[in-house]
Amino acid sequence: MWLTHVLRRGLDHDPDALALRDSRRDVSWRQLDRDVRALASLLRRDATAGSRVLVLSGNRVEVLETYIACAAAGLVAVPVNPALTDPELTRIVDSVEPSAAMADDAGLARVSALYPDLPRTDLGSVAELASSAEDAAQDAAQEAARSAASGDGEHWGGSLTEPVMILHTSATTGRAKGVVVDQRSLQANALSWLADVRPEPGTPFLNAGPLFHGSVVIALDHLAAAGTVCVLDRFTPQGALAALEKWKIEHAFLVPSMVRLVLEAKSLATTDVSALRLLLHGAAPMPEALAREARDKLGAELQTIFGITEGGGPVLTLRPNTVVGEPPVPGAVCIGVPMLGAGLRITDRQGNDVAEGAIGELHVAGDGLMQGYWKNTEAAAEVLRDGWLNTHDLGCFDTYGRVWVVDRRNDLILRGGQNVYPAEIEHVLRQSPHVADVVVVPLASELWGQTPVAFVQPVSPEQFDEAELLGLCVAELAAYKRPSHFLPLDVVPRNPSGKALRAPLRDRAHQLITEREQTT
Amino acid sequence: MSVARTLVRESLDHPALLDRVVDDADLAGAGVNSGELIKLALRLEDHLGRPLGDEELLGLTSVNAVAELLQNGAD
Repeated sequence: MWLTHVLRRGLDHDPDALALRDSRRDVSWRQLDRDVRALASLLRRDATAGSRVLVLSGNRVEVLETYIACAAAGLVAVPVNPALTDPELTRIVDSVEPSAAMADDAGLARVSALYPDLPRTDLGSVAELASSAEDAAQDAAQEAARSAASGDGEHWGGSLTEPVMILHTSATTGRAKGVVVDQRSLQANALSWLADVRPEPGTPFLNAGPLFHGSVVIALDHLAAAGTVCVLDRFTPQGALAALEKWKIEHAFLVPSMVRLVLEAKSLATTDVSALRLLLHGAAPMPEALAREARDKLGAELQTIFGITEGGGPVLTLRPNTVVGEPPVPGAVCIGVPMLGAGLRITDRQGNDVAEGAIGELHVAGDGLMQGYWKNTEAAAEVLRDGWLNTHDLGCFDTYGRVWVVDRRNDLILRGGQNVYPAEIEHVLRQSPHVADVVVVPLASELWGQTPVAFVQPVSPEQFDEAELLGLCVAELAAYKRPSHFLPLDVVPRNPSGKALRAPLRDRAHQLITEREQTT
Repeated sequence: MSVARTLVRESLDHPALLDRVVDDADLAGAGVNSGELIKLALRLEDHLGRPLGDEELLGLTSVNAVAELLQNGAD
């Protein structure tokens, strides 16, 4: 019911105002309503409540329309990164067993090759679908409209506690985990966003990130404000700059790597970005020097967002112009305070709250938390306890109650805002008959934040074959997960219980790569 | 090695990947990621001394396409 309520509010506010736009279409709230109704009707035709709908597409407005239509029809949207390889994709699809697929041209081709019997619809045909549905069944449409106006039909909108999306994240186990999101989570996040970011009706928001990613909730938050969500087909710094000017973007969300690339683009010098008021950034720490440069060159205020897909998206924020002073711990980054409705604790390993300045693990709570992981209660139990989600981030409170992040307890690698778990890469590399052992660690990168580096212990020294390792990764892993370096290792260092000692390998990777770069 | 191939190679996190890619192969299909393609575009802008247009950016799909841009794209 939340997303259909958002739709209803947008219609009531101004049906002819823009809700969505991309390089192909401008979609008013009136058109969005038509498209959503046509899509919901189509998707519900052969599916029962709770059925999953695979969404395999690059960015386009119809992806967001599909999410809203799934909510309206009581179905569950399962967006999947189109960059995944076939083995990665089929593992997800086989797990969620979708009743239908919505896809762009490239996605349709893959679905028809991999799942020829799965009903599928071209996302490019949505506007046409809505138009013909209206012509052919005007009475039914009017009835639906009457039904909506009088409090909505029997199934229209779903309930707050029904799952509405499954968002897949990289996983500690080497297999993607599906984060089950309900409408209550989307509602909680939107209300936080309206309170702490404050978009207004009509505010043009630039969605530069992929719509299959957890940050998609930010686009839905802007719709909740009756704002206009402007969708980039794919991020390029040149494309983002052109969109800022053409669409007079006022709010944008970028990860720090994107900000750096935008500032490096030649077209920045000739682009009018004067409409931009607020640059929201998250998914990785923003270096202070980059933040200063962004403020100077883009003329916008910056707001830090700290989020986690399992927590329903954004959960903490540092408002613009907040003076935070020196970090309480060298290298720590301030992520602000909990957003409205979000709870936060920092605890020691025994689960006790730590004192101000002491470092512990960050736990978040609130209605935004995920219901769990799809078909993986064990993994959910590891992070969710008594209504609190362990983010595995390490941080502390300062004297003003603000939160500073210091490091991560688990092995997550943040590459340009995308999560990569070493286990996923290690699992692939172990398939080689020439690999005896492997450990993947992060390497600091000025542009991407971090990249994965693979330390490989070959079965015998002469069997270290970089080309073979690279080939395995290209075949089995999405390109953003591919290690930036493969380094041979005599023996993977492990503690007595067999756990790989990653910290010294991080240092060794840094040292080896620095030496290698100095000699080339 | 051609200038085009050198520019592509310098844009890759793992330059050895290019050893597997022939000049007319689709770079994304061969495993080049979106970030590396962005780096390539920025490198080309530096090389040409001007911003790339939308069509030029979309056309950066292979080493041959990069070579063509270098040949025809200088002002």
